[in-house]
Amino acid sequence: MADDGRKCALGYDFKLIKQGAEAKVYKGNYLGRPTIVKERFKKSYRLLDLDNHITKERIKSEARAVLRCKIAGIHTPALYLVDFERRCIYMEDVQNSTTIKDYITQISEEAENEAGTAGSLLMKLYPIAQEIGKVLGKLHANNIIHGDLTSSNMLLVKDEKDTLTIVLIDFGLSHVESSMEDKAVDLYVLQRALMSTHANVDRLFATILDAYMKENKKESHEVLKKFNEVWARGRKRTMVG
Amino acid sequence: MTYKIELDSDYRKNLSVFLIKDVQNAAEIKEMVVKGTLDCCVIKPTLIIHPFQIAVAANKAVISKMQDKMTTKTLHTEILYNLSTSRNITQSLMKFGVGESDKNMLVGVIEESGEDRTDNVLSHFKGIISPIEELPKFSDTALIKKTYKIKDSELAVSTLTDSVVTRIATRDFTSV
Ligand SMILES: Nc1ncnc2c1ncn2[C@@H]1O[C@H](COP(=O)(O)OP(=O)(O)O)[C@@H](O)[C@H]1O
Ligand SMILES: [Mg+2]
Repeated sequence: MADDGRKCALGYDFKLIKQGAEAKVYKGNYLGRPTIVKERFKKSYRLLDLDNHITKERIKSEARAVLRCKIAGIHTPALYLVDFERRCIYMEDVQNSTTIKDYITQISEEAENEAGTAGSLLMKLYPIAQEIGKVLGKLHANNIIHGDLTSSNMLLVKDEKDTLTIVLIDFGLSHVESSMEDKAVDLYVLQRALMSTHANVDRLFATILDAYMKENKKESHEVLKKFNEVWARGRKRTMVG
Repeated sequence: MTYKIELDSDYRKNLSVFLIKDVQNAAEIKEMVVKGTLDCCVIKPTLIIHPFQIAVAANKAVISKMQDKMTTKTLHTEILYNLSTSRNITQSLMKFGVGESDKNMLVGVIEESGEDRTDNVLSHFKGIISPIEELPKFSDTALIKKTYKIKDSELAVSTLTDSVVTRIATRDFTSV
């Protein structure tokens, strides 16, 4: 029953980099390439059959969404192996990447040391927020719902020419759905996540939403309407609770 | 010059890939491989963009073997099957395996570290062993894109190799 670190048979050159609630994430080398392995470990409080079933579905959702995104022209890591028995996905370790979360934290600290204003910090993050909005607009225009949009599930890659690329990861809760409600909830989750993780730059979301609307033009009106509804519901809930 | 990588560490074996051109005895090679007297996998280079594509297919094959989940009978046919987007075994083997009159081929050899069978395997080919770096001269990019259904819009965000291996890794539960 215990979570055995060797279960994944990762060999010696793999290092655990993150232990989450659902998965352990390892970094190493596989088939000659820098690789991330995401292992969804067994949850002992769940019935084994049910646990296996849920895990398999999550792995499938993640792998399918990664491919769907590529087809839609959205950056995702390449997949090297999907192994249901080991409960693992082996994927490209995106080189020179930081999570958006770490990047915002780092930039915020730098700004603090330079005694910069909140305004100048937002200015610095503006191009990234725009890029995120564009990617999410494309995602939803293709009816891909991420299911867990947070700043930890987006990677930022800066190349030599300072071109920004956003790579989306962590699609275990994703699904394909054209409903405006699901798209609105996806955005709402992101807004809440940004508010709790990056309270200093919560205005970033407005920029993201703006770029999103431009990219997902056809649905922008309806998604925004739904978003406001979801938001109002959420507010009521927090006021009651 | 040669491509050699370590497959999954549970399997403890290496994969080497060689490019051989102007092969004069494709029919004979094919027969030996089918009979099992020549232990290697022989692949059409036109459909391969990078040896890593074979590595991902071969690695998936050895894992299926360890888990008793192979779809085909041998490791070599399983590799060809894994390369294919079709679930039809015969079609997959025909498409990715070499034909009797093919002149150029990629040869995959799986061996334990320390073991050295490659010289022996390669000695059966009446052809010219060429640096693997010459593979791009033989890859048919248009055919690969068509086979794996990859559009240019995707190649704006992914290399062709990455797009192909992602499809190989997900083929069993996607219908792209
Ligand atoms: N392909 C990747 N390349 C680089 N880093 C990654 C990659 N996948 C995951 N990570 C890192 O590991 C962390 C956790 O991965 P994630 O898939 O989000 O799992 P979890 O479900 O535990 O959140 C990410 O926030 C990121 O820092
Ligand atoms: Mg995550």
